Amino acid sequence: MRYRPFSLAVLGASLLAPAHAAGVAQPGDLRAFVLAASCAACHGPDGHSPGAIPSLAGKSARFIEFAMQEYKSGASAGTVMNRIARGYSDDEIRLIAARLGRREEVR
Amino acid sequence: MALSRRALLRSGAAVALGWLGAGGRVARAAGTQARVVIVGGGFGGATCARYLRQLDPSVEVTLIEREPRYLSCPLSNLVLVGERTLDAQAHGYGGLRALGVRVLFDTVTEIDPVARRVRTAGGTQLDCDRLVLAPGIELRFDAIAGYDAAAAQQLPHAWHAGEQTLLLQRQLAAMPDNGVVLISVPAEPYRCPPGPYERASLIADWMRTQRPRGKLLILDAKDSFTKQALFQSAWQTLYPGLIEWVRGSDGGAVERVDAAARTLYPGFGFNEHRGDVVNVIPPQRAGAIAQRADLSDASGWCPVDQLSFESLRHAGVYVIGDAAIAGKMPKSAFSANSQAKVCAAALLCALHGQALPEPSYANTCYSLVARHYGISVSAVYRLQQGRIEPVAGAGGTSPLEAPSAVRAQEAAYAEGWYASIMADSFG
Ligand SMILES: Cc1cc2nc3c(=O)[nH]c(=O)nc-3n(C[C@H](O)[C@H](O)[C@H](O)COP(=O)(O)OP(=O)(O)OC[C@H]3O[C@@H](n4cnc5c(N)ncnc54)[C@H](O)[C@@H]3O)c2cc1C
Repeated sequence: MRYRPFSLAVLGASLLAPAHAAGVAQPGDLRAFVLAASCAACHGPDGHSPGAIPSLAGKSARFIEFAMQEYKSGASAGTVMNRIARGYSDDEIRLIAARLGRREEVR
Repeated sequence: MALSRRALLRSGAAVALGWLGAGGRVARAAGTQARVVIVGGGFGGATCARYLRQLDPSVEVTLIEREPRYLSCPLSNLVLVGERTLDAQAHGYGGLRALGVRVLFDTVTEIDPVARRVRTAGGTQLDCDRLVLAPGIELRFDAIAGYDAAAAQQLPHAWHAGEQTLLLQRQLAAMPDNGVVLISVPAEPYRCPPGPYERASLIADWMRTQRPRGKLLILDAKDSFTKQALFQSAWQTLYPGLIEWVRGSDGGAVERVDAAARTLYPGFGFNEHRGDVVNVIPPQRAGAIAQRADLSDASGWCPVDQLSFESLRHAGVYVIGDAAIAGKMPKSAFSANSQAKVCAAALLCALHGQALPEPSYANTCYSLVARHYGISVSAVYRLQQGRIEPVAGAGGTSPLEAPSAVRAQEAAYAEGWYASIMADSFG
């Protein structure tokens, strides 16, 4: 391979700096990214839904995790989210919520 | 809706992954950028371009697409019955350009999958480090005797949105009062498994008031279909006696057509059917360029590694969307969008020499059974023993019994989904 090997030090260094500079910390890694990327198809890029489906943008991570768990347990009926939430483990739901939600609520 | 650089930063993708900034750049030999070429700017290709640039703005992404205006298929069944304009199906590539994607409107005519070299009809030649193909489908004009490109001018397929959609729309509008509509449906795999039944439903919805003496016959090569119980119970309630479904083993599999006589012939021993409007959805295979590039197998579709979507036939070349064989995922815009994201992450990991993340894929297909009556089927997928399998106990269809408010909400969500996925795929 002619590519320079990707250094973990670089990953660590650049992980949070620009995000903090922008005032919004984004947790998560590639796994969280891939998991949460599925949500955008219905909830819009970055959780900004331009149409009838509720936006996730601006919701807290705690709220998203709670809502997903309510769908998963059947406590919330939903139309399609009840079927989708059952496809994710509790850990995965936490990762998704942390990735999409406002971070200050996670702590 | 162009994403500003700030919005990108806010999305945090590149930031969180550490691929942003000089230190994390993928360097080529002389310090130039890594180059990715994407062939086909539909749901798969556009999404892949967007996410590649979001995850790693240092990578040079060139998207080659034949048409400057993408006409999307989802919701195009509404165009057939005059509930939506074709213009509403059109999307441009400004959003991708705003992200720094180089968009080239040209037709790719030749691909060397070993050298990863692409040639276009316009005479451009491009070399790249990684090549992604998302060319969609090619309709097979050699599968049903008598059904070729010329026959499609009389018996439209309307399985690519555009002129064909308008042709079928005009034929329906001109149909006599007691007209018969025929829809011929192929065996799987084909683009959009519930699409033919949504189409039948919306045409029936229109006929109910506009051509109440008409009939609609679905000639199906299959013996069952997706969301069948939901579709059929809705048909019984909404359009009693209007739609008849003929399954494959009862003579639904069309083997020959007579285009001039608008007649469809199933196999030996079954009656032929003559229609006033005849919609033939023929069998399909991967987009022609994927076959020319030696990426498809005997099935006509492209075998790929189910984690990365890298071709099993040529390293460094990826195939996503309808053209790819992706385990249990249906050929849908949603699937193409989902695969594109997994592929973008995997491709960048390969460039950076990083381990691939565990993938996760999803699909939800909404269907309109009437203008304000929606149903859906959904699944979350995982890699299990190297295969893309739905997660057990999750997903499935809308409930068989539901108040009309729920159906109305799913219909609204079908359009909401469209708005979201267009923004997510094209920007
Ligand atoms: C009636 C109908 C309804 C549908 N409804 C839904 C729905 O509700 N939900 C859903 O999820 N899916 C739906 N689909 C399915 C969806 O349209 C497809 O699954 C989706 O378009 C696949 O995306 P793709 O990127 O693989 O291919 P495409 O979207 O077809 O994109 C391929 C692109 O590649 C370009 N191309 C091909 N060859 C070349 C070349 N040689 N050079 C340059 N460019 C090239 C083409 O011009 C095209 O723009 C529907 C389909 C139909 C027909």
